[in-house]
Amino acid sequence: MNTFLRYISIFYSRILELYPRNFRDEFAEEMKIVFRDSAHEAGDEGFLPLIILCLRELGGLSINILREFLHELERKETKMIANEKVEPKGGTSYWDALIGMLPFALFGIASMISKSRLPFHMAYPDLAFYAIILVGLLVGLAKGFPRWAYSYLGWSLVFAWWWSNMGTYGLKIFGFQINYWSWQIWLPLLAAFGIALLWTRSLHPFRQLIRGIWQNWTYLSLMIYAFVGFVLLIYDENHHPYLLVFMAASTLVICMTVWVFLQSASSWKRVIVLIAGFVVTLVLSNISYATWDSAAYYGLPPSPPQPWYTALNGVIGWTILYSGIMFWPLLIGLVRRVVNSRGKPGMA
Amino acid sequence: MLSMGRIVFSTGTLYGALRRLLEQGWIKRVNDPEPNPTDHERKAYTLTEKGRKIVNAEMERLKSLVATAQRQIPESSS
Repeated sequence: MNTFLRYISIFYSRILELYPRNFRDEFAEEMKIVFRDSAHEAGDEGFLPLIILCLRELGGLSINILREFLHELERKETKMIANEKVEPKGGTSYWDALIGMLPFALFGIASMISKSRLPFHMAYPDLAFYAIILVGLLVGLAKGFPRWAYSYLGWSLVFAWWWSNMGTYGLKIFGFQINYWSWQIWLPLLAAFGIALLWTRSLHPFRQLIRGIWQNWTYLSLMIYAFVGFVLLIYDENHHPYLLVFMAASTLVICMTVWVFLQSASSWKRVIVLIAGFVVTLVLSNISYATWDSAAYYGLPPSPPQPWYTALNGVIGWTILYSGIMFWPLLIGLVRRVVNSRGKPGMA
Repeated sequence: MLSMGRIVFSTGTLYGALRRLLEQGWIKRVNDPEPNPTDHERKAYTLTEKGRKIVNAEMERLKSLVATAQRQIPESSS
């Protein structure tokens, strides 16, 4: 009987590990003692009372573990909502702006490494970048989706979209050779969402993601700016002798743009900053392509000389196009304004 | 023990209830008045002032309920 009692006590201890950590830390030791005493008393009365006790405990524990998890969920929701109220209404802090800027800096660095002809597969810097971005996104979700997390979400979506049609011949990851990527690249992103859900046991970060865009549409523009950053930092098919200098300068401009964007309290200041950053980087990109003879590099017939205003037209045209892409979320802001004005009594 | 075996809680139900009562501030932990040298982890709980008021109010409500029931039942039926 003593051996049986010892085994069911061990089994009971294992079941207690299924409780939420807060509850376990507070009550598990007491519960073990109470169960041990009850089991000994029931055991003294006979085998049947002991079995009845065990069945009662099993039934009680399964219901109460579920109940405590629901309680923990409510407690976390309340705590996250309380923290959200503390967040300032204006721009983010210096450090938060730096954290939000980091993905743009890392993509610039990863692109420069990929162009540097180092003795490893050029996909590794990009995949390392993706891994870091996903960790950042996970932390952002765990922290209730602060403003800097939009930068990580934007980059993870852009990267997964980019790589969902990527050939990586000869690439080996943990012994597996992957020659072509499609839906597989989305799996780590889905896993990050899943882990965040398990970690927080709350939908609050996901609601905060949507609520943040509803309250300030420019955060969706920041996510789209990740796509703009991707286009401007990749310098595809460019073999300019000073390519790395252009890439470093573009990375610096884009990072400064995002840093100022995140620290700005006014929506219009953010819009102007994004446009200014885009124009400066586009000019840098144009200079790099204009001062490099691509036809000579690829052995093609020389291109006819272009009039001076062709490049200017290009900058204006691309700025209008990308501004339209970046700032369509303004519509969300307009809808919100209409909804809010209808909700206020006495307003048209 | 107090219910003479009529109410038997599982430990899960018991400690779930204790957690709620602690959070509501109706009970608090105290040193075990009869400490057992082998059970260092055993805790005792006592009513707080707020909890005592609620228990007293509940007792009054139950007394009133019983009194009403007694008034409704004729003496001859007992």
